[in-house]
Amino acid sequence: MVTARTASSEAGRVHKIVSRTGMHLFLIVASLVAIAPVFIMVSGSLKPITELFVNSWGLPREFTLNNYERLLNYNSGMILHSFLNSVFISTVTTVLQLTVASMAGFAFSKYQFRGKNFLFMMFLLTMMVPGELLLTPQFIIFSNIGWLNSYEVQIIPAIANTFAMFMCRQFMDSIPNEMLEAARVDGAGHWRIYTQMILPTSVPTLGALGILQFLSKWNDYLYPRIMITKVNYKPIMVILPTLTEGGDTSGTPYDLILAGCTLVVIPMMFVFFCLQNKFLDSVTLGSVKG
Amino acid sequence: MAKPKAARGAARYPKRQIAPYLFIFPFLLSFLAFFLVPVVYSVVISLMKYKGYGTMKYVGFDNYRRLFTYNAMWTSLLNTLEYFILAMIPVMILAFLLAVVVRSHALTRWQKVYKPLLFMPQVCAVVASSLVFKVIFGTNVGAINQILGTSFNFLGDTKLMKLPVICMLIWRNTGWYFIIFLSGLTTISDDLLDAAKIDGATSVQTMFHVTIPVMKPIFKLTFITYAIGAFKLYTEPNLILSKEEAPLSVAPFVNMITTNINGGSLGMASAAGWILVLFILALTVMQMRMFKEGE
Repeated sequence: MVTARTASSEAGRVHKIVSRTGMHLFLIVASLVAIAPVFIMVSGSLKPITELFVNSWGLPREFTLNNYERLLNYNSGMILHSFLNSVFISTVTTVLQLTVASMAGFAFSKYQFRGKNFLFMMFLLTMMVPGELLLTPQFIIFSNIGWLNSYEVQIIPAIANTFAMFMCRQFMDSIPNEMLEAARVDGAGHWRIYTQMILPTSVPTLGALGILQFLSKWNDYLYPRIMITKVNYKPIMVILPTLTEGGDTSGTPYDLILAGCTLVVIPMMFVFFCLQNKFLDSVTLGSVKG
Repeated sequence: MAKPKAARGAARYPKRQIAPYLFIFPFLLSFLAFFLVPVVYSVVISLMKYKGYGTMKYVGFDNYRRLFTYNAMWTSLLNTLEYFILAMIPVMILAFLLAVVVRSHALTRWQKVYKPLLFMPQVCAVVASSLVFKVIFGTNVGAINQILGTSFNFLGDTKLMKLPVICMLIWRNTGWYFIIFLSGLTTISDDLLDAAKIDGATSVQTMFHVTIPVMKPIFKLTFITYAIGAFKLYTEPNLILSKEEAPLSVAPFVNMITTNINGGSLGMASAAGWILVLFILALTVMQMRMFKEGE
């Protein structure tokens, strides 16, 4: 009896170790696959183009920063300019989106007023409509009012973000009304309640939302590709795929492109590893609770 | 005066007041100007022949009729469906398996390591990732061909061209759904899993009789969001397979909108936009039905 039990628990332990090793193996392989393209990108950006043709995936044998040098000098500093365009456009858009969304979310969450349900339903229904539908009418309207090729066309039309507003409302519903009531009795006005009680309490939600909105604006490609044709206003994402060198349009300067990709990916990666939890929270904002 | 029941969920402010409208005003204004007006306008344009200049000419449903009899539309639609299904199945299976493994007791301590690593591809910009995949699948510069010692023309051979796109979609999306499934799995209490174990359920039985049923609402939602996203596919195939717009044989549906805008057929572009909406709606309804029947 005794031996049988130890034998079975022994077998159980072996089984446990084997299955745990198997699970780790699975996760390690998956992680390696996840990292591989990023590794290829960064290490490739440090190789001369000739090495890419023989060693595209290993560590650089002949380390060089020449690609970055050429990238920064490309078309008289166009890359840095478009990078700053992207930073500017994404930051301003995100700030405006969050401001407007949190104000509207506050009204929907903490007030009763005529037309509230109608307005809210109308906003919700439109979440299903893809932005691609808007491309054509927006293109016509903006070309008529002379907005094509500008910063405003990349910022202002994106301000009303229904998803952000909905998330703000959902969070603000969890702020107890008693707290606001107490402030109101103490003589705080509507605006003060919003700026001094609602906003500070909403910081975690706004942070996660902000990351999500910033990333989606930063990554945007289709919209600026249609609306912007002048180099001065282009975000970097529209520039990267068009990199060419020496008037040669057939050959692709892979080395230059990899350096450009690294330039846009690494800052995001850095922010991601600093603010991991915020990023991961942002994923589930709309999906699990909803 | 104060009737707590009536005021449930909202502060007890009088009904007639201007403050909430002022708070909503900026949102509403920008919503009307940049969303509602364009949506209505796009219905109008879709019934017109319009080059972007000159006069509009009313043509009824001609644009729609022409699109539906147009080979290009069906080809790009089938391409989109192919990208959607061939990437979604591995993404969902992988994401779910990864989530189950990371959630298991033995590995709780390691969650902190694996979660960010697996999510990382999502942080890489789509444009950058597409360009990197273009390099990875290149004939001469490509890591794949160099490792295999082959010279497949992944980016030019019509039979192979969809593969790099699908690989990238799987690579980039798995982490996102992994996190969603993982947070869904953490809502299943340990008590429930322990109870199943005590009752003698094997881990496979637990998976099919406890985990999957509990996760069902999450699956439903993710399928719908995935499908909507998949129909809006644009950047990946175009940038992996071309510098601007991919050839028709591998083009996604959204190209029907962009090529028509670029070609000055704005009526057609608008109609294509509405067809996209139609397909997304149909797909959503279909998936909701499917899940209902399964219950």
